[in-house]
This record gives sequence, C-alpha cells and structure tokens, in this order.
Amino acid sequence: MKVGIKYCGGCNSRFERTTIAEKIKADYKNLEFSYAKEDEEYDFIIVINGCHIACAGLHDLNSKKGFIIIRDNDYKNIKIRIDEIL
Amino acid sequence: MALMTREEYIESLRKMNLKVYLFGELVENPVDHPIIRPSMNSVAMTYELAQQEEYKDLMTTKSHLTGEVINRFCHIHQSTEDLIKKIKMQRLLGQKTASCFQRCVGMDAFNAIYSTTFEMDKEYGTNYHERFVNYLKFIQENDYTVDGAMTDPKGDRGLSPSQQEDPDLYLRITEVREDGIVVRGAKAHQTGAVNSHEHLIMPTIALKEEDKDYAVSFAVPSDAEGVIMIYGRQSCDTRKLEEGADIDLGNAQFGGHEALVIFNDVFVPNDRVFMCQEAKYAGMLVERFAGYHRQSYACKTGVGDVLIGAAALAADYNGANKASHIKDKLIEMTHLNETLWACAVACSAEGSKTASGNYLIDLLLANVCKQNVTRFPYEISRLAEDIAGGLMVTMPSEKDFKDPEIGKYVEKYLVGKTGTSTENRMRVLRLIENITLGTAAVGYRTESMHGAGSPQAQRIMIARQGNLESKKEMARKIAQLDLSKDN
Repeated sequence: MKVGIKYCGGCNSRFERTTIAEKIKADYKNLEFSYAKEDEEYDFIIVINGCHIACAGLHDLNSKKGFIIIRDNDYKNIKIRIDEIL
Repeated sequence: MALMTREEYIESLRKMNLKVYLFGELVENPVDHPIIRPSMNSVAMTYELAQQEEYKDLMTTKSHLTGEVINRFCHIHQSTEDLIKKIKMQRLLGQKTASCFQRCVGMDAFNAIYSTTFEMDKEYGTNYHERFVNYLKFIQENDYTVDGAMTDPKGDRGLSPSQQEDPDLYLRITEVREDGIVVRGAKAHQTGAVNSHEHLIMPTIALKEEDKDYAVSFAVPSDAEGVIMIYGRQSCDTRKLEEGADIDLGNAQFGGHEALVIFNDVFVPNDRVFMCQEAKYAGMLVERFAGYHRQSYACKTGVGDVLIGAAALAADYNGANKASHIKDKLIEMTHLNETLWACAVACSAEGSKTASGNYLIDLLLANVCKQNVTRFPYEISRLAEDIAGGLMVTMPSEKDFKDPEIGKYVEKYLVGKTGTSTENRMRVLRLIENITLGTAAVGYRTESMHGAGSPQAQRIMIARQGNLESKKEMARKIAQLDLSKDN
C-alpha cells in the first residue's frame, strides 16, 4: 500500500513529529511510505500535526481511503487508527 | 528553480558586488565576515527549513501568479489562512534562530505595494501594478531575499520632507527621465540589508502635493551603482572577533543586523518604478506596510519561547526550579508571550480582501499587537534576568574558564545544582545575556520598541481605527441621554 506522510509546519509542536513518523515506518515495514505530494494518489495519508490545532494544509492531496489526522503523541491510538484503515 | 537551498543562497550573495562598510572599512567579503555571518545564517534558515518536509507546510506555498511552489516569504497572501500561516512561520523561525531572520520586511513590502499599486492604477490609469507583478514573478522565480525599505533618516521631525535644510534627509526623486528616475537619499535601520539581493523602497510618511518628489517606490539590486551600506554596530558585537569565541557569544550561530543604506544618485529604470510622485497614495502604502509589519512582530513570540526556555533551564542549573516564585515568573512570561501571540492571530484571522485580491490584516488589531510588543518583551526580559541571577553579567569569560591555571576555579565556584555542568550553566546564562542585553537584544528589545513604528505611531492608528464616536453612541443609548438638554 502506498502511504503519504504530511507534516504541519511545526511552529509550536508539543512533541517531536519526526519521531512519530519514524516509529510508524519501523512498525509498518510492509507499507510504502513517501512524503505526500499533490500530484500523486495514496491509499491513505497520515497527517502529523504538532498540536491539537492541526493546521496542516490538505488542499489538493489525493487519498483513496482518507486521512489519519494525528494531533498528539498517543502512539497506541495512532496504531489502532492505522490498523483500522488497513 | 523557485526554491533555493541554503548553500545556493549563500553562494548567490557571494556573487554580488556589495559595498558594505563596517568599522570605517569596506568589507571585502561580507558573507564570511565574523560579525555579519551569524545574521546571514538566520536568513539562510528561511531557505533551509523550506527544504525540509516537516516545515514545508509553513515555509512554502503556491504562487498565485505562476502556480509554482515558492518560499512563503515571496508570497502574496490569498486568504486569512495565509495570514495565519505567515505568523506561524515567523514564530517557528524565531524559535530556530532566537534572532531576527530579516526576511519579513520584503514580504510585507510585497503585499503592501501589490494592493496599493492596484488602487493607484485604477485612479490614475498608470501601469505600476503590472510592473510590480512582473518584478514579483522575478523575485519568486529566483527566491530572492528583499529588503523592504521604508524608514528615512527624517532630520528635523518638526519639518516636512521638502522643508528640511538638507532635502536628502528623506529619499527623493532628483530627476525624472524618459527611461526611468534618479533617486538620492538614505534608508535607516535597514534590517537584513547586507543579506538581501534587492532593496525595495517605499516612502516613510503620508505626503502632501508639495512633497511629491518624496512619493517614490522602486526596486534596485543591492549592488546597484550608487548604493552603499554602512553596517550598524550592536552591543557586544566585537566578541565575535575574539579568537575561538563560542560560550561568550550566547548564540554563536545566529543573529540579526541593520544597516544605513545610502542611495547616491541611483538610476532606476521604469520597469522597477512602482510609484512616482503620486503623493496621495504614499499614506496608503505606509499604512499597509506598517500594518503588515506590526503583525510580523509575531516573530518575537518565537524568540520569547527560547528566552522562557533559557530562563527555565537557568532555574534548573541554579537548583531553584521548584521555588514557587520561579514557577510563577515562568507562568507570567508565558502569559505575556501568548498574549502577544493572541493579538497576532486575531489580526490575521480578522483580515480582509483588498481590491487587488490579496488579504490585509485587521489594522486595529495589528496595531494593538505591536503596541503590546513595545512592552511585553521588556517585562519578559526583566523576569528572565530575575530568574537567571546576577551571574549572567558578572561571570568570567570563556578564556578564563578554559585557562589551564585559573579555569579550575571558575569550574569549581560557578557550579550550580549538584551533578550539573558548569559549562552548560554558563552557556544558558550567556544566551539570556545575548537576548536581553547582547547582540540579539537589538532585535528583542529596542527593535520591539521602534521597529515597524514607535509606540506613538501605533497609538495614532489605534485612535483612528478605534471607532470612538460609535462607542459614545452606545453609551448615550444605555444612559438614555436626552441630547436636547445639552447646549
């Protein structure tokens, strides 16, 4: 499966956003991850926001199964949501 | 390529033939000069973060002119969301550099000139807007840093530009030719001038018809014939010249700068002229640039984040972090910093569309935002100094600390909380010194006071925008005043 990763801009992150992405990549080695680009289509897109405001722009991003919007570092819950979509 | 890398930016500056003077000497290589370099590193960060996936959402956007991905610093705001992302980008860069990163003035000038030229053309049938759009495409395509230059030296503040004994104390048109104009004068306090590819000039005050030669907006390359920059010195700046300087700098990597930029009969071709003697529109351009730039002081919340963090670390190293008054002071610092942020968000969220299509911040709230900035960083600094303790200004130098003879005494007697490093304690205290009274205090304190207009300039705008008459009417109705009883 092709999975897009999109970050917010990180102006006032409550946690290290890249660590979350690294954890996901390590736990789902069977998935094909890349940074979400607007001219490509993904099976789903993980949007990693550094706070609850979740301001990352999703305009023009294409996803077959929707978006997983992350706004905290509750990794257990993040995994549940990824597993649900899989 | 619409996005330059950090390295490409540095090399592009190196290729310019800038005339920069510092300590009375022409600087042969401004890019690598130890006093200038940290300020260039701050601008370079605006390029570096734009290349990183985890910051792109703030640092880049799509040009409404070309559809290409561009650095947000070259963008014309297309929505209130754009205005909010602008200030988030500025807070982020404040956090990353703890300094002034200098690129905001250009962005604010772009947006002010964009809408003003549109409205000017509508009245006069001129083609300034088209010229400016073409210029902006050139800037976006090359990802240039631009010094948006407004402040004239101003001489006798009681006299208008044309009444000054020396007519050059406000930048002016000295000749209008068929192919362009010739200008003479200077712009003072020019943030990032030496790190900029271009200077984009605007008038400094609203003007009357008799001052029409001062109503001028144009762009020139920073190394244009007749342009001279004199670098502004900063508190503690020569520490950067000390051999192996590191701890004593507080912030060895980053800084900001201002320069006095002289225009000695500089020729500007017509395609780079965006206002030429239209005195009526000088006020609009000044008001809009000032409004955008007062919103831009959101950057100070990012520097404030670093200062609050440094004060908290100082308390940790002092072993005082559990004291209730220390905790309360850190809360107060955060409260003040987030109050600054709240006004920056508010003036952005309440922005509105101009006739040209770009978005302008709410001018009243932007002025309230900046008015707070003239005060709160001083109080945040005072609290940081309170928490840090007097050692931040009495501490021996790095050379003493590293000296084989006496270093052991500095190590022994300046240690803080058991088990912590003396060097780390010194580094944190020097960072607080740097922001509150060293080189970065130029940006965090006095620039907060006077940048984008001194406090009184905001109070004039607050009075203009405050809608006092309608407030009086509200009070009249509630109090049930019978106006016929008044003489």
